[in-house]
Amino acid sequence: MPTDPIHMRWVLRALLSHWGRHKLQLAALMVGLAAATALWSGVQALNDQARQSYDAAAQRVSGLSFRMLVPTDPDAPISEGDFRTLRALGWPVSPIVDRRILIDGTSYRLMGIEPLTLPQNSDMHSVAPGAVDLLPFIEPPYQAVVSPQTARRLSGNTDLPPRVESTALADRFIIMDIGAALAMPDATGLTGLVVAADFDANTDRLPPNLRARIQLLEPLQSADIGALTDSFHLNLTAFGLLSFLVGLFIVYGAIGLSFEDRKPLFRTLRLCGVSARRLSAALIMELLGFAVCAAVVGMLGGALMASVLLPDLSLSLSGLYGADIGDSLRLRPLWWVAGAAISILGALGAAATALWRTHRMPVTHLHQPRAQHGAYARQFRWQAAAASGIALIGVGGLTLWPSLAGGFAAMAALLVASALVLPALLWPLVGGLARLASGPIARWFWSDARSQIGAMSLALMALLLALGASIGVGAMVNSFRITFDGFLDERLAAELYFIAASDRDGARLAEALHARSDVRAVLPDWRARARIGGWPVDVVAFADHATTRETWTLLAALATPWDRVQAGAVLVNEQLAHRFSLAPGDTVTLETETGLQSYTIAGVYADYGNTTGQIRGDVGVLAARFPRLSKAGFAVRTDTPAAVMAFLEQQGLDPARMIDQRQLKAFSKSVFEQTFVVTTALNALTLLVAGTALLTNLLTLSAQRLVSLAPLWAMGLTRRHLAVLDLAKTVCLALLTAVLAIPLGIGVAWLLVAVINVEAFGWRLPLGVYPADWVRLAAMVLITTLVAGLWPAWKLGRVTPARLAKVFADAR
Amino acid sequence: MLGVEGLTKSYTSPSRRVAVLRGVEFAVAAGEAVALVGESGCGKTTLLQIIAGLDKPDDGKVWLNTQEITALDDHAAADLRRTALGLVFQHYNLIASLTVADNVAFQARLSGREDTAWTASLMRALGLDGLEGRYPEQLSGGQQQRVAIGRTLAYRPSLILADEPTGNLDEDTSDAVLDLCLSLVRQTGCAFVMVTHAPRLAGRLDRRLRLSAGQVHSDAD
Ligand SMILES: Nc1ncnc2c1ncn2[C@@H]1O[C@H](COP(=O)(O)OP(=O)(O)OP(=O)(O)O)[C@@H](O)[C@H]1O
Ligand SMILES: [Mg+2]
Repeated sequence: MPTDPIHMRWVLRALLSHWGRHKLQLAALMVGLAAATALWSGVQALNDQARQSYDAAAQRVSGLSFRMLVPTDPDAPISEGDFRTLRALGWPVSPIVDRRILIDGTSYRLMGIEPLTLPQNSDMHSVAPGAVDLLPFIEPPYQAVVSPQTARRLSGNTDLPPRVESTALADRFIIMDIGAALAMPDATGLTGLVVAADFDANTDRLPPNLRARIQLLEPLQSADIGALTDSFHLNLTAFGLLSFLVGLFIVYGAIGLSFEDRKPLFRTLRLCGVSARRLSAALIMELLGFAVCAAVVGMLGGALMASVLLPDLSLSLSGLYGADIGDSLRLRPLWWVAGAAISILGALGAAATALWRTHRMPVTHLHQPRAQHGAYARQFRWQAAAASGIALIGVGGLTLWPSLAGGFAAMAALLVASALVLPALLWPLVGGLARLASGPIARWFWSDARSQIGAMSLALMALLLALGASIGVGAMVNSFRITFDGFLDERLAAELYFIAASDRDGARLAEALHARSDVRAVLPDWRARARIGGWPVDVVAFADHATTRETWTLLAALATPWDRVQAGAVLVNEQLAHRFSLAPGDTVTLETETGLQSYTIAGVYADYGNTTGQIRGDVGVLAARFPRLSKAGFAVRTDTPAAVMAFLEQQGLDPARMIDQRQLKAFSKSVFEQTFVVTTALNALTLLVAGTALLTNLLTLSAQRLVSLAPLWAMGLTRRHLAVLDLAKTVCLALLTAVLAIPLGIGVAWLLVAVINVEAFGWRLPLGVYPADWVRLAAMVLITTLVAGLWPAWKLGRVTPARLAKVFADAR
Repeated sequence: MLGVEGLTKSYTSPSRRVAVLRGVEFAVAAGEAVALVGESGCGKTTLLQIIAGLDKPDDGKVWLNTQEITALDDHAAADLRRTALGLVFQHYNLIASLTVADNVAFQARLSGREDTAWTASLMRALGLDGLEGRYPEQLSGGQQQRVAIGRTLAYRPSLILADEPTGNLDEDTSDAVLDLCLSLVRQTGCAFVMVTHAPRLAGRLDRRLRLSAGQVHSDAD
């Protein structure tokens, strides 16, 4: 028998016609999907932009010194011949010019690099103009890579090579090819040779004439801001993920409802000759259409959100550096693609079970009534069982597979399990309140509230997740802030840090400083490198002084640790202890260029933000055992840092080699403050999304509500009274959910600081509990539910007596 | 045209197994209109669902001309329903979000066989003119049933299976609707199987098939 081709557009039209008559459902679906996409892509855009800005700003502070070979005598600079000799010996070195130049009275930092030999993994590489084409960069007339701001400053200049803009650079920073830098009118030769960070630069192996003239200068490492902000970005990403989940919950609810409502339609389509396969295809097409629309709206929203939050961020950075770090959002094409993909995958994921059930739906028996009282209780028990299973898998996965991915998976498991178990917890809780209640109205109130749990469960779950995420991320950010404030105070206790051009120069400057009455102490911060089990560690030599004794807190220590360090023991950072399971009292063995050295561990210190292992020991002990200790770094205690900096500059020290710790501290703190602001804004948005879910849920329920409220109306309660009771019921359920969200939030925070952060960075934050936050959040929940519940309640208060009476007519 | 051979079907309820159909055999020729009668719960709806390829029998075969419906998979059975079968079931199967006019035209449009003049004459014959723009929920039960019948007749199927199509209609309307169905049978030579509890209506058809104790007996036998 010939079959005519099917006209799918009529199937689609029939499916879509549903939404025209259920606009609220459509709104819930689109809002959920768009909000999820907006929150996710907004966080990504923000993260991206913030990272670029921080990097550019951090260069000003931490990009000031590189691991390099420098001349022992500043008057006898390293020549290009020396460079070629070293390359011929197989040393991965690259020539560099790093100096200040004055153009029209403004000081710029000029950096000349040799891109072909520049070590890939050197710190230098992060400032190298990766986006710039190689050939025009290295060939005359050359190029000067600068930030857009610097390009504007230098617009009329003809001495410099043609400008190329790069947003990765800080203002007043000029990068050019080494040839161009050496050809500048007032050129002074090479500053030094950059050495790959992991190269064992043992100068003892060099020919005698070089060995005498060259020394290795290890960079001065203060708190590494880049790595520290990375941790924040990771947490922000986790938060973006949580917001996305909340949005998806709404989508899941809206899709579930629309599929339930359209069951008769699906059946009719099947009767009319649309196969299950074609129906599923049409539903997926419909969903893709929605997802694409929502993705566009959501990503515009995300971009808007990021650009609204961004000015604060660039403002604080520019306040710090007097430089415009870039206040316009730059979105990469990949960002758009990723956003659309996540929106589409999210929609399909949220619809997967509904699609599957529809595909398997038998056409013959459709008239099962919707789940009622008893069915809900059974469904809740099932959900609780599923939740236990998921939680068990999460815990099991985390113990068997402790990794970053495992941490994120455990978090997802925790959230999903909590959401599933919520109705099963609320059910007996509200039931208990119903039994405790005295008076018929109160008793009715609670038992009616209980009967509403099933219909409201998805909205309540979304609320639970939003609150759990808020509490968790709030606790994490607070912990971060408090811990880091304390940490920065102790780590950057000295007022001033500097690194001289060479050891000899350092000794000279330290000498000169000792003579000043306004300098309380000049403390060595000397560096070397070693390995433990093949893993590179930084070795830091410090002098015993009140600065460390009194301000440093150790995470774990033997008795009298500072005295033990004096006597030859060492301190290790938390990262190192975590990696090799070391504890105070253990012995650590270092692989050094002069052989193995063993030390007793006197204590473990927090070293937030650092990515590598570090050990600290007394300067007397380590200087004797590390012959090539780089001795150019010093910390200065003084009450007049400005005067001391001026003095050091007079003495010939480049200002780029000094750090005013107040500036560093202020920068670090502003990073946290900004992220804090951003997180608070995201919290509010997530809650807003949950509020929208609640509103749409209440509105779709309002017709059913009439059925349970009509008897009370008939018994003599006014419509206003009923509306107030209904609103109160919504608020009570939301507040109970908020209470249950507290343990969830603590769980989320714990996973963030004690699992995910440790796996990602090797250090753990102390977890604080902040009840004041909970109260603030409870107030926000109250406001959210009141706002969400007001309109449905108002509608209920104004429902005509005729409609209430009709409930009885229909029941007959 | 339609052939049913040795059809058996049983349902397993939680407590026991109920054999609803136990070897049903009958045939309906093209252009023939038959009534399927039997007491409530005897399996009439079950039988129609199997013929329409909506459900699978435990055993036995259903043929439509040379095609074995019971051997088709869901996709092929759906294609058959879309192009050859017209179904009217006990519960009105209208699309709640489409207007009366769109509902009536729906299945014809699905197969690209829309014929506006024919549809308009159907609307008039079914007493639905003036209601084109309404939605099903704004119609009475009987009006909804007539829309469902209109949808089936609008695309001229070769076999119509109707499960109590006149259950909600008064006598006069029932007669009018049945007249319409029969005139289509005469015009197009399609086969017509109608379940009904009304002996008066059953008597107006060519033949009566009685389903009892899981088997079908024709009153012609
Ligand atoms: N899904 C099912 N599971 C178990 N039993 C079923 C199922 N569907 C139908 N039945 C039983 O099969 C028998 C036949 O049902 P069917 O609907 O075919 O009867 P019917 O003849 O159409 O009745 P009515 O005239 O009342 O419409 C009934 O006893 C019914 O209870
Ligand atoms: Mg029946």
